[in-house]
Amino acid sequence: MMVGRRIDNMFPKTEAPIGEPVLETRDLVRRPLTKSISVTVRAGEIVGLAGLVGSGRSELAQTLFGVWPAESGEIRLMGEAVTIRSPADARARGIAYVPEDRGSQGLVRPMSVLHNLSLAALTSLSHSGFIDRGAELRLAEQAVGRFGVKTRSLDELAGRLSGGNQQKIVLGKWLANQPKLLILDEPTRGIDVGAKAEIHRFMGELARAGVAILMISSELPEVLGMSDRVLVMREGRVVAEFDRAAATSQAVGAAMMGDLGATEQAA
Amino acid sequence: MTAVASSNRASRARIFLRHETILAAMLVVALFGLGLFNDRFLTIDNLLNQGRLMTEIGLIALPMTFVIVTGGIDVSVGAIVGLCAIVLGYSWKNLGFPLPLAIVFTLVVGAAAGLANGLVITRIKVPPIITTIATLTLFRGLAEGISQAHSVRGYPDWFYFLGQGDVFGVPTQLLVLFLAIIVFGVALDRTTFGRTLYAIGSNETAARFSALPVERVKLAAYTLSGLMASLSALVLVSRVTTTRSDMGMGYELDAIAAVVLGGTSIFGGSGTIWGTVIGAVMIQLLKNGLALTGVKGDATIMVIGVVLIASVLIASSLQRRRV
Repeated sequence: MMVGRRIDNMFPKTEAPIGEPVLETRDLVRRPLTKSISVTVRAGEIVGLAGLVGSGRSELAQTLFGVWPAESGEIRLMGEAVTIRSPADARARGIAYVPEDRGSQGLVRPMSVLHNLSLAALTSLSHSGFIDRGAELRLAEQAVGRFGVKTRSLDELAGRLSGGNQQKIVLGKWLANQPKLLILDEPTRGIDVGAKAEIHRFMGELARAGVAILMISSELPEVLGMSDRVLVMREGRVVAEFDRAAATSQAVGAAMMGDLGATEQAA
Repeated sequence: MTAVASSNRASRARIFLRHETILAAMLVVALFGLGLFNDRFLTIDNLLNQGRLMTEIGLIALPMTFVIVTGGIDVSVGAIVGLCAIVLGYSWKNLGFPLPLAIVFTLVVGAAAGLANGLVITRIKVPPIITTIATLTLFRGLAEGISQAHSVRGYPDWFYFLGQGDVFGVPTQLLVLFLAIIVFGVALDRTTFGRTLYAIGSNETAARFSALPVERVKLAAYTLSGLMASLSALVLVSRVTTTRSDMGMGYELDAIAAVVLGGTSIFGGSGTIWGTVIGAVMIQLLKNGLALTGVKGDATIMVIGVVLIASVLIASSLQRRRV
């Protein structure tokens, strides 16, 4: 992990003006792994969600996205209380989710780059159910240009591209909807250094454009390098919160490990 | 493994283009081959009549393509044909419905039967093959129970227009089939519904995570399957002028064979209406050509089985070579 470079160089975190809260949750519950979660993410803010595997981070993301609708608690978007029962609800409310597992959740690998890029925007690309193929093509060309996706053609199957390019497609397919809240679940897992830096740069751009970003990452340097604020989850709860300045790897790591970690550090 | 799978699918578009091309070529060869052996085969009269016979399977094979593209299957369609035939006869003869109302009622029952399949599959998450095997016996049992082994005959003359009449020399039901082919073809190729069918069959989780209405689209596919089976039942009853509870038996196999022969992957994610149409034509012409050449019924079924296996082998070997 540590390659001797300073974190500041690896993560081009840029300062974005932080605005009004986009997402606020109060005591959000979805058993078994989401137990009473209260978080706030503001416009232009990148909130990092740290925690061990199984701490409930992805489950929280999928509850916000309507895959597993909340059992109780409150979700407010732009100050308005909302109910999210399905991913379609979430999309209509301006939420986008780039899932943890690119191959099985994010991408339809045997479909073309073109069809993957339009998949989450089909409703806005169609008139009474008929896909406007000209608009679809323009959308895909724009996304490929904007993210610098390296592909031989738009008809190339998405599964044949490199991991980094696949991830850019998953990101691109959601940005077509101009989300207000972007949830990124392990956005740079398993992709090369170049593509990683590019995705971090896009995150910065989006934040500056006023998008609220909730980023789940198991890579501590990424969490520390990219986040304005770091939340730590353990066993389905948010157990600690750090400002950018206070978020050190020791402090965040200890919070992730809980008592066990504290004893180890003391020893 | 995933790399292999992806490169396998990589040339999918080209493969199925080729699969359909090969099938079309085989069709032409079969046509002339059978024509050479028998001078009654390649006549306009015979071909139009075969179109009549093909319609009942064709109408079922169209929504079956949708269902198989999603990675599902519906083996209850033959039983729905039987049930709907009985519902038509019973509601008209025994319940005293006017025939137009009985027809509408039959279509509603067919759609409801398909919807029931869809609900069990999407809500209770029973695999499609298990669900539809169960409803196959359920629907066939219902048909037998309602009919009590009585057949219904003596429909008014106008009703026979659908199954026996023609418009400018073209059998009525063949025109219905043409219309259905266009509607289903456009729906699969050009609409968000069709795109969602492919996405579900390729990767259901990713389809769900892309905010596509996965459950609703699957429900619609199975409902369409039931609806088209009831339409097929109307055509069948109108053609043979009688209603029996064993009608439509084995139709599911012919329809599935047509879909698979037409290049639709049984694992979902790919396939075209065009391929299914060629597949259905192929099966009908084989049946007819062999019968005319003096091959007995059982042997015909065996030949169709061999052709089906050969077509799947050719398709998969083409794919393998491209890896």
